[in-house]
Amino acid sequence: MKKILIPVILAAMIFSCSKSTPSTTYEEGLKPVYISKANAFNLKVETPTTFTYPGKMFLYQSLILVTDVGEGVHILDNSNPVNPKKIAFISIPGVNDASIKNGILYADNFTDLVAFDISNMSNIQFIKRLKNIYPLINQLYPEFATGYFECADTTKGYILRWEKSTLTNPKCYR
Amino acid sequence: MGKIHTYKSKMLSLKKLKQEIMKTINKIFISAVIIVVMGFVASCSKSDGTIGTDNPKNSPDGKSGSTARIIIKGDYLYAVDNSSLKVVDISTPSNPSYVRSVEIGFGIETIYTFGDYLFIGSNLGIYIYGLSDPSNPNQLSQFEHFTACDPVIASDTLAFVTLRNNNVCNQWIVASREIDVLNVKDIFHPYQLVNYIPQFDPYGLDRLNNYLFVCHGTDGVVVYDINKMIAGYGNAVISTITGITAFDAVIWQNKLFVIGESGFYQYDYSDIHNISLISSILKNQ
Repeated sequence: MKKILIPVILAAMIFSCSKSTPSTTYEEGLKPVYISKANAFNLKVETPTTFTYPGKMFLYQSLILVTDVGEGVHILDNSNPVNPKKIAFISIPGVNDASIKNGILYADNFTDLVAFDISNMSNIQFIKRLKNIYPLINQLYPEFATGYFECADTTKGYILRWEKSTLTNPKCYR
Repeated sequence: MGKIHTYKSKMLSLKKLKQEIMKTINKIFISAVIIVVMGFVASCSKSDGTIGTDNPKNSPDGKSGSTARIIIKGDYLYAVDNSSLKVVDISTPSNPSYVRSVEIGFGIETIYTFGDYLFIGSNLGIYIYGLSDPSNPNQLSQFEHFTACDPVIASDTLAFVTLRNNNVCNQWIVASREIDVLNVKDIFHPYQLVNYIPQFDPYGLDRLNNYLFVCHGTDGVVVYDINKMIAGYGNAVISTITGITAFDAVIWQNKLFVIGESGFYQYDYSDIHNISLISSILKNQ
């Protein structure tokens, strides 16, 4: 009995080993979120919406700008601080920061700086785009991070952000 | 005996040198949210709870947070990317025009203005630019983070810098965090007054008179007593706001505004020891 058992166990071990050799590895890392090049410069004035990635703020008279990083700018009316109200959302892909002077809102849109007239909140108007004043943010790897990441594919568009994710067989590491 | 003594002190100085080198290397790799908040120190008793001319403010009717990458000063908009400063003329607000790009250095993260100066925070230090020609800022000085600590000296013009390391190339480096207080009275020769080691990683910040409001990420906001920070003794922590994630704080119209991962909050700080929430808008609202 013993004589049979040992080879069986050994065979089982070898079999199980060989079975798992073309192994799949899973690593915690970052994966790029893309926006198509056509949509990257598509600006839209929209009705108020929820915050997704609240990042920066700018205070102007009784208005508050909350920049939703990569998504757009929320405009809030804070004339009653107990109950601030969202009044508009401007969708600006790739945005990092925004500022206002004399009723004009300025924000970055990937490589460009864009300007909106917000003096009439019910009729926010796009007024100007200054093209290519910024270099495109790093499209190859996540800055300020180390570890595994999903290799960037520039044919998919611009990278909006890097998100934490469980990666399958990641090939890129820094 | 004399020989042994010399040998010993040589060993000591070598050890010290090694420590200094390690410290320097450490700081080179500190990737920071570098934020400069600038102003004049009012003495404790001068705190009147209002925004005076001694407190930072970059436009008569607007104010950016300390982590800003776009600021407006007079007729110009200044924006930073990773390595340079962009100057845009907005004297005709509806028709902004690009003026120029000024090369600065690596790892530029934030821009702040006070008086006729721009304070640009990078991974390695602070660059101070003059605006005598606002269309063409010129570098006046820079302060590198790895400059050695200096003795504590009283001063009337300060800058504050928060530094925290993140995980850039630093698996082998000891975690480090600090709030640097700089004397920038002589704008050409800024130097460090004190490096304060806070309990938590510091992010964005703002200042009102003797109070320094510092965001500490998931550890909320801490209000520090600047005089005590500089003095280097006594508990500099005045009060804390917990239960929120805080990345940037701005004092505006006698209220404290805070932004973090979960949303936006505003606080009444009229009782600095007991800061109270006025309202908030969270992600799901």
